[in-house]
Amino acid sequence: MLNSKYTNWILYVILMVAAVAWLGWGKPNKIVGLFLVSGLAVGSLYALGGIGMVVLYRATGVLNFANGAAGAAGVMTAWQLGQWGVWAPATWCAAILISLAISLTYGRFLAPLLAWREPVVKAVATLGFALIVLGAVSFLWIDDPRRFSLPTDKIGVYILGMRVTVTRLIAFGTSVGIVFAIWLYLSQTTVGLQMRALANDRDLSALIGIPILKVETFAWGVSGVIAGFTGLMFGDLIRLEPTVITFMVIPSIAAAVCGRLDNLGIVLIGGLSMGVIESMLTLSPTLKGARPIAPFVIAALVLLWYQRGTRLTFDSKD
Amino acid sequence: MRSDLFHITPSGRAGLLFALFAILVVPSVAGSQWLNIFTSTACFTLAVAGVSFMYSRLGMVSLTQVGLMGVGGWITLRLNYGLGLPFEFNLIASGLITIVFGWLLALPALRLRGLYLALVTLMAAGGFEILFATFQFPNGGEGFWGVQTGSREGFNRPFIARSDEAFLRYTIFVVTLGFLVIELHRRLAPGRAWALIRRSEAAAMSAGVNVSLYKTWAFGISGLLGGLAGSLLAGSLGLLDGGTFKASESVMIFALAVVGGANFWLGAVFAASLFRILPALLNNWGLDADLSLIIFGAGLLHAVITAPDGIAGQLMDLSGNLYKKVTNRGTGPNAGPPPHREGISNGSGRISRAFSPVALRLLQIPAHLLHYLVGTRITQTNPDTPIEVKDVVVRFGGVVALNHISATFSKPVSGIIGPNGAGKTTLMNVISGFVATSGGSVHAGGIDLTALASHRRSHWGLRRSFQKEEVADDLNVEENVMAQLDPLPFSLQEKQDEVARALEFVGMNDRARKPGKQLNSFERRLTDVAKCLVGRPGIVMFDEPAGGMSVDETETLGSLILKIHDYCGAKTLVIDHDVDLIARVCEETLVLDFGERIAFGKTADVLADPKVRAAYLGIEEDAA
Repeated sequence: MLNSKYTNWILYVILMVAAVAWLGWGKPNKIVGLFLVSGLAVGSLYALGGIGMVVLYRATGVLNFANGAAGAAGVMTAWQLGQWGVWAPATWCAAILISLAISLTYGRFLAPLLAWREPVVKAVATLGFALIVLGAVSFLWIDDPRRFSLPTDKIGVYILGMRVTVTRLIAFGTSVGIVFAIWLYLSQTTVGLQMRALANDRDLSALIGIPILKVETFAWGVSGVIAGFTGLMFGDLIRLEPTVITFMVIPSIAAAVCGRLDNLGIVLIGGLSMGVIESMLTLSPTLKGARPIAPFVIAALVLLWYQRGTRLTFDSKD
Repeated sequence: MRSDLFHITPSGRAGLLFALFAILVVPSVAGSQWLNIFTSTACFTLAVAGVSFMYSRLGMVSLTQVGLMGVGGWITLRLNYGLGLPFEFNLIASGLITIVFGWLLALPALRLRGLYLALVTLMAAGGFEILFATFQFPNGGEGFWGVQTGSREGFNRPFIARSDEAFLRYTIFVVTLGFLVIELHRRLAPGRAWALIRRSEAAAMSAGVNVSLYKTWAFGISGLLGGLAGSLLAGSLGLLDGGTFKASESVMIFALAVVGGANFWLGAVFAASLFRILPALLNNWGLDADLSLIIFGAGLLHAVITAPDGIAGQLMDLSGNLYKKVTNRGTGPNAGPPPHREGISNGSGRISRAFSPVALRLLQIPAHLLHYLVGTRITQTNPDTPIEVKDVVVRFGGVVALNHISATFSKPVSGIIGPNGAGKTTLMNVISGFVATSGGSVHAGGIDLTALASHRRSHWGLRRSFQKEEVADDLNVEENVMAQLDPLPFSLQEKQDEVARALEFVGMNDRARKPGKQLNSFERRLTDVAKCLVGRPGIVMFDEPAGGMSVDETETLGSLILKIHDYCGAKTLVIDHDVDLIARVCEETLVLDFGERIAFGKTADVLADPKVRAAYLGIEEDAA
């Protein structure tokens, strides 16, 4: 068992180094470094999105397609408040609060109605909610080229001779920080313990008196906050457009899938790797076009790798 | 079974009426814009049907359907503009090539299930979306890719359907054919195999179902329908655009299939109408596209929450209730499912009874061909040879579940007992081929069973039941038993006779048409037993058959087990905690404890053994 664990990691490192070396072969170090950094920043966003989903999925069994829409609503609100001249930090807080409120609304009032359905149907229902939020956001803010920027975009630090904006550092630092914080929270607090119990067996958890609704609502809250923050970062680093941000959940799901919707550390590493490979593919003239597929291909391969050697596809309850 | 094949369900009837309406009325009243909308609705109906049947029959979610439509459309356009081939040829070629794409998608399905499978197919849909965006659709122009967005240089529609009106009729005709393809599958062997797979893959394998083959087959059918739909869409528009085939649309198609009602034909029509006609209507009424997104989302959420069987399900319930009120018919224990419920063939086929035997015979041809290709052979088992378990070792990580177990079962009925966690079920799983061994073999009837795949062991004559009764809810008693015989090369008549004989033996012949979901646990157990007795079994294994049964029921089961050897010559292995049952039916018994063999021999001797009493009954060795 231990052996196969190490094999996985060694294989991962070899593949990653080989991919980066192959794609960056013959290019100046500075260029490679630049793409690596930008890849890490985008990857952190995939990872962040994935982490929000996994935290929620573990505690509630819901794969939330509406995470992206909640983030989009948040960042659009921040942009609007910024236009009205509101103090910038207040707009950021507003973004996160809006996303939190959207997430809680669904989690508290709609999700319990579907608690008895299978996971796929629950996921489909969140898609309905995502459409409502996206529709409302697109209705309020008609298609217009907009820009959302954080003051940290203008501050840069030099790492190994490269200028890296602080926003990218924040995206990277937060994704690592959140994984650590959640791990600490789950292992050290009562609610964390209850969330782990729910992830393990919902029926048994209910029998031993865990307040399921309370714990679930808490998980919806956490994922809402993460979605809000991710939305802000997407809006700044990638594009401020509700539809684009809403459907960024798909690469986030790819990152979440790498960690089998369970292991936050692997979600983080998966997300970062996807970002890096995607960004490094830009350097290859032939594979450039395949860039956006990278997350999907990686996630599908990782899943199949996990499942190698199994003969039966048992459900958890079989 | 024979008469059910050509029975048309109420939902099917409604679907046919709908198709007739669309063929006869729509073309004469609709303008050209609406004709296009109806044609594309028909195309998407076919695509939705492909997703729906996978979800409702196999419990598998495919989120790549729109991507597959894109593939079909791409091929049709390419063949049309690049080679100038006729539409019929392009349509068929698109369908066949997308079958291959469907098979490729099935590869992950052999390993994954549930949400993970859905996510992998979503990843594939994302891949298709990007491929279409990169390579574009060959809408005319030069070169192999023939990329020229927006052109429309003489698309060759079929000569019988040049006008928009005629093409709508043509599309609906193909869609109806597509529905027939699924329906025929559902009512024949593949449908029974799918129902078993949906229930439990282990049960399906032990019924001899080649799970990989049937899953791949289902994905192929789904791909075929998607490809045909895409091809027809290309034919309707003459050009396609990458924006139509986004991954998010595939998710939407699945969502709508659930909302429409994946169990019903009409559900696919509803889903496609919601997808195509509703937005067009909202647009016509001058509603902002974003607002219609909100209405759409709210409708989706509402339907998912309030109608578990979808809109079609609600409608059918409603009409079923009305029907019941009007005719005032009650449903007795033997009356079969409520009249509206599809999925279980019921009632008498009033249609085409005269030609059904001929048609049935024709339908058997592909099945025989398939069997020939997949190579189902059964070796006649010799009932007198014992079952030899030799030196079997099973490790789960560091735990040794079976430690060099050997035993030769030569009596008609033998038992395996031991406390919880002793390795009894693991031993049965080794014999079934569900658990990989680290050493040892199982021989019976002169062959090494461990060298065969699980479903092959069933073809050979290995039968088993599980601790939970594995009866497919979607099938009736008769069909559940028939599923066990489907892979075997007997004639239909022989199979039907054997099913009837087995049901009579267990006493379920009066409930042969009762659907799986209406059976009580004893009836389910009896159905399980009947399944184990058909197709010339060599070994029958029961894993805790008396679990959860009353004293009378256990008594009946015991008598049945005792008669099995005379009935079909098979040797029976029984695991149970009911020592009285074991003492009554088993001549010899193997006792396991923590993966070790602690006793084997005549049941009475074994039960008297102090070691067995200590391990199994919790009595100290000294005290005994």
